[in-house]
Amino acid sequence: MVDGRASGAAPESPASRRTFVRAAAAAAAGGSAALVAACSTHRRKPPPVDTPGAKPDALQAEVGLLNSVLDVEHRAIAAYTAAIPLLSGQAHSAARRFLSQEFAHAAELSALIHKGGGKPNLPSPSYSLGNPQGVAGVLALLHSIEREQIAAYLDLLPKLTPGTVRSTLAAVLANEAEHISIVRAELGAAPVPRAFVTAAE
Amino acid sequence: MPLTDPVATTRRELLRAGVATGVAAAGLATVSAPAAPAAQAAPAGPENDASAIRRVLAIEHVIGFAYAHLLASGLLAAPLATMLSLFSAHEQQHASVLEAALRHRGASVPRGPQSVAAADVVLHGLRVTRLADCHNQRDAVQLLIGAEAAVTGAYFVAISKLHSGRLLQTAAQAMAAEAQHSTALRRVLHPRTIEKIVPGPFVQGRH
Repeated sequence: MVDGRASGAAPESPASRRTFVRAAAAAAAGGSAALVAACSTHRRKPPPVDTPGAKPDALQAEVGLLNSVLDVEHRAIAAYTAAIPLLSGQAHSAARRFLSQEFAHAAELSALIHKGGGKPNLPSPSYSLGNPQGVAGVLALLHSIEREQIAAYLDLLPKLTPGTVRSTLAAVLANEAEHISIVRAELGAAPVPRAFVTAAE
Repeated sequence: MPLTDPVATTRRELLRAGVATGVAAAGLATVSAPAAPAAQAAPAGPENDASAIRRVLAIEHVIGFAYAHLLASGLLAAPLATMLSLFSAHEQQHASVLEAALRHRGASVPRGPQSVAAADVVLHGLRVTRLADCHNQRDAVQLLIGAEAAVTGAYFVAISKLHSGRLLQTAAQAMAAEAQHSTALRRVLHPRTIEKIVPGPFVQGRH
């Protein structure tokens, strides 16, 4: 699946690296509008938010936890948005797909936070995403982003009360695990290294 | 209701086991319905955790059997067999951890299927292709995709019910690995179609 063409390589000059960071910032700033657009167009229906088992008072206590994970999703959205123009072939297609799925995750978290009477955190004006060198550097960035998300969801899940909200977020975690397995494959690493997924993947 | 574990050595036993397992599988499907109302939630505590684990373990046993059978079948090309050997080892680890969790809670550990016929009864109850109907590599991969969806769905349901934080995290990690298995298997069938490899943002399996 890895496309060896150099045309998708990340920029190496300082001016081009500034462009990468600016792109990430612009993506983050436009994240809200893009989030709405993405959610209103090509979006698979998520598990229901308004479930009888997800009582508002239970969610209220978990709003802070959900917002912390939402912050991680916002960062992932910025990273994928910045990375996509720098990738080509199968990696490009995968990154586009994963970006749309990260938007869906953020939308679900936002809906849960609203239901709990809270206010979803907005994306940051900019994100520091480092200076990835070449396609491998960009993929390594996405790999680290996915590891952050896996760590965040694994930390969150035991803190939630039993119910469908918890299983919904486990479904998100499983999707992040799918993402990281594809990114690992693009990097030439074993896609499924462990029986129990951890953030060390 | 725990899934029965038929060890059919005679046709009569097979039929009796098929009825019992079919009923149990139907019960499994009913209990696995999504978004159960809070008023009908099962009682909290270790007993409920054991019940949730037992359902997942029953499917882990049958998927482990399926992997072993298909690896020994000669249907698989070498590169695929290498990958599936790894996944088979993962399933064994999942089952071992779940068995230990059941013993820790003082619950009995069910035995997995001991024959293709017994495994096929369970697979049929899970709406998965039967081993007896696998005649080539593609059939084998499709069976495993179905089985992985079933075990993922079982974890999805169990995670909503578990009370032990440690067991919950283990279940989530295993469920995530099952999702990775499914992704790799779908990639075998659709190597260049990302929409089929990673179809959706919420991985619930089949439940």
